[in-house]
This record gives sequence, structure tokens and C-alpha cells, in this order.
Amino acid sequence: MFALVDVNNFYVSCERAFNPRLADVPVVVLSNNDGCAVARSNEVKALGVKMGAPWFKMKDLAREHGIVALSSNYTLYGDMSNRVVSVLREFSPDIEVYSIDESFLRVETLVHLHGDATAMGHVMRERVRRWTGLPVCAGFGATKTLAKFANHLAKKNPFFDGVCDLSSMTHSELNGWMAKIEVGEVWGVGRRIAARLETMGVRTVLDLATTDLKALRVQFGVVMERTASELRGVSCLELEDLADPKQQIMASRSFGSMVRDIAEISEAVSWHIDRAAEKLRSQGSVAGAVYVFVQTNRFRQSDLLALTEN
Amino acid sequence: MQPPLLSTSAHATLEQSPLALTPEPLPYTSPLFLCSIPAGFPSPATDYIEDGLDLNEYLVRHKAASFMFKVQGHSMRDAGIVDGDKVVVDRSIEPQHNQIVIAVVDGEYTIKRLYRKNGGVELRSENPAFKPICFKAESQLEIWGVVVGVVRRYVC
Repeated sequence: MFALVDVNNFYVSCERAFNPRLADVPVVVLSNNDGCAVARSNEVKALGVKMGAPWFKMKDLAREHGIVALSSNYTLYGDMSNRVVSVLREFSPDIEVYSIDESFLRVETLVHLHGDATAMGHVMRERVRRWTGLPVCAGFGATKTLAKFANHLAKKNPFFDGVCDLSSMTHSELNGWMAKIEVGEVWGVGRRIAARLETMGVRTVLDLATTDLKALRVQFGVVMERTASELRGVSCLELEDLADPKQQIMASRSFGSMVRDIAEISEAVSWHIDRAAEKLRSQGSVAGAVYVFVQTNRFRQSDLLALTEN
Repeated sequence: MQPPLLSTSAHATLEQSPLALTPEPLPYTSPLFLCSIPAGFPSPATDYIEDGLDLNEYLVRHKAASFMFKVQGHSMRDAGIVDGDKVVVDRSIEPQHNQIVIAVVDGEYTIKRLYRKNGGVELRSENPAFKPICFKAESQLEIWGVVVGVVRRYVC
């Protein structure tokens, strides 16, 4: 059995842990040049502020709602991440630090020590909160993909009180939850794949879990087939002992709407460089080359035409 | 943008950001002497019986839960904690009556002695110039952690 434990709104929570005044205040953490939102508290998310939103565009909203903006403090976040991991490690020696704020644990031989997985989840949650001040959610499942799904449920549904154990559900309960969640929420299903799946009638997690595996492999490759198998409870992914350092790190995203302003473009570029550099530092690597690109909309013929004419 | 500033009240307060604790213990350990050293001359019959004192181990029992803060103000002067001292705070310990704790009062950190009585609880200073802060119920009081040690350097 796998557990996926992650910190809620990690950067924001780190800041709140050391500033009691920020507890119920809308908070946003900004990238290194105080440029874009790299983390948002739930209150800020509720105001419709997107990840990566430039600060200068939010200033009126901030004034109106009392949003506090803080500069990112990566040293603090790294230190707090290590603390969370060391608390979790006491619950299971088989731990994979998946990202700065998420860890997978293998728990099948240890769950009974706490009674059941839900009880274990609550003890972990309580201890992380007590020792570090950070709030976490825990999801338990027979596979990593299911544990991630359980974690998503735990986080988004107050019904679970921060801990969701899929193995404690009946078949129809589990299907019920899977039918409620969009397929894009599944670990490994990005926006593009989700869009393609939706055109094929696969809209919910349950749809993906019940799609023919061979057809998935043909259309999307073996990785997607594994994902669907994992959703069915067949474990295809082990805990990684040591992830191979990435040879290429990319951070990019499409703009949500047409952008003409050079300041907005350069802020976005800065933010993506920031993210890529964060990933680089986290694996202790040094870059041999940095490649920056900005691209016009591939789907607008008129833009292409304008470029070639000039 | 800076986080909210600390209050400049007379209470001993703490800087908002804790200092990172060094992840590895210092390789050097000081020799531990059998007898205490009087202010005059050490006894020539001194012997080493233990491994040595690792200051990190001495101060930090639960690494993940331990944080260091810098003290501001004089409210704990008579407990031997003065302005500029560093205190080691352990969040994993259940706060006991009479222990020195870090508490959150009105959104600010404060260092005080915890005093439980008659179902209520007080935060007491160690300086006659400061009055105790009283709470009818413990649920009204937020204790951030227990002060397990104080550190002071004389020579920088």
C-alpha cells in the first residue's frame, strides 16, 4: 500500500508557520524578482488568481482584498521540506521524496501499528503539524496513482478531514468518487492529454479506469496504459530510490490569451527560468547551456504570415 | 515586500524568521571533564571519562522540531535570558507547567514562563517590570514551542 503525503499550499504554509498574523489572511508568494505568483493561499485561489500571475496585474485586487505578498524564501522552504521528510521517515523507512512538498511512502507492513491507514494518516498529519507547523494531507491506495488520487480527495473534500484511504471504501464508493473527478486530475494526465481523452469520451477518472488498456496503449503509449492499470489497483510503479538527475529541464507554458506587452512577456520568461533553476538546484546540477524561447501562436496563420513578410 | 514587522513593545519578542540549524553536527567535540572547573585553576587530577560533548546533540533532541530564535527585550532577564540571546525551541515537547515557552499573543511571538493554576493559565515574565498575561482557559493560549536551551557567545 502506498501513501502520498503532501503539504497544503507549501510556500504559503511555510511563511504562515513563522508569522502568526498571516493565518487567515490571503497570501501570495512571489518569484525572485517579486514578479509572479509562485504560490497562493486558498483565499487567493478563490479570488481567481492563477499560478504565475504577474504581481503588477494584481495590485488593485490586492488592495481591495488585503492580499499580502511575500518574496520567496527558498532557503526556508528547502529546510522545512527536509523537516517534513524526516518526520515522515519515522513512519516508514520506504520513502520517496517526490518533490519539495510531496512524498510517497510504502506502508502495507506498518499500517497495523496504528490500527488502520486512516488512523495512521491522522497520526502523521498531527505530528507534522505539531513538529513543523505545516498542514499536510494524506492519501492511501494500492498503487502510487491511487494514492495520489486519494490525496486529491483528501485535500479537496472536507468530508475526509485531510486523510483518505481508498482501500477502506467499497467498490461502489470508490467508483462514485472516481466518477465525480475530471480525468485531468489523474497523475500523469496533463492538459493536452486530458483534452484528447475528453474528445474520446473519457471525461472522468472512472472513465479512464474502465477504458480498454490496449486501446489506451495504441493511442497514448505504454505510460498511459500503466496509469489506467494503476487506477484499477494493479501496481506498475515502484518507489524510486534515487531519481536519475534530469539531463534536460524545461519550464514552459502557453499564455492564456494573446500577449503583446514586452514587460508581461519578460516577466513570464523570468518566472519560467526561476522554476527551471529551482529544479536544477534541487538535483544539485549545473547547467551547460540555457535556451530561452518565446513563440507566436502556432495556430494563427495570420501571425506566421506577418513574420515572413517582415 | 517585507513580512509584518515585529511589535516594539517592552515584552521580550523574537525575530520572525528562525535561524537554520546546521544540518550536520560539528566534527569537533570538546572534552568532558570529570569535575567542574572552579573559576581559579583546574584540578591536575582531571580525567576524560566520556566521549565528549557535541553541542548540537546537547541542545537539539528532535531536529525536525527544533528552531532557533533571537531574543529581543528584557522580560526574561531574571531567568538568565537577555536581549540578543539565541534560544533553542522544541515544538515536539508537550509544554509543562513552569517551563519557558514561546507563545503567540496578539499575533506576536513572546517568550515567557508557563504557569498553570485553577484551570486557567498565565504567561509570566522574569522581570518585576512586567505583569503576567492571564488566560481563563488554556484553549485561548497558543504555545508555539518549549524553550529547551539558551545560547550566548561572548567573543564574536
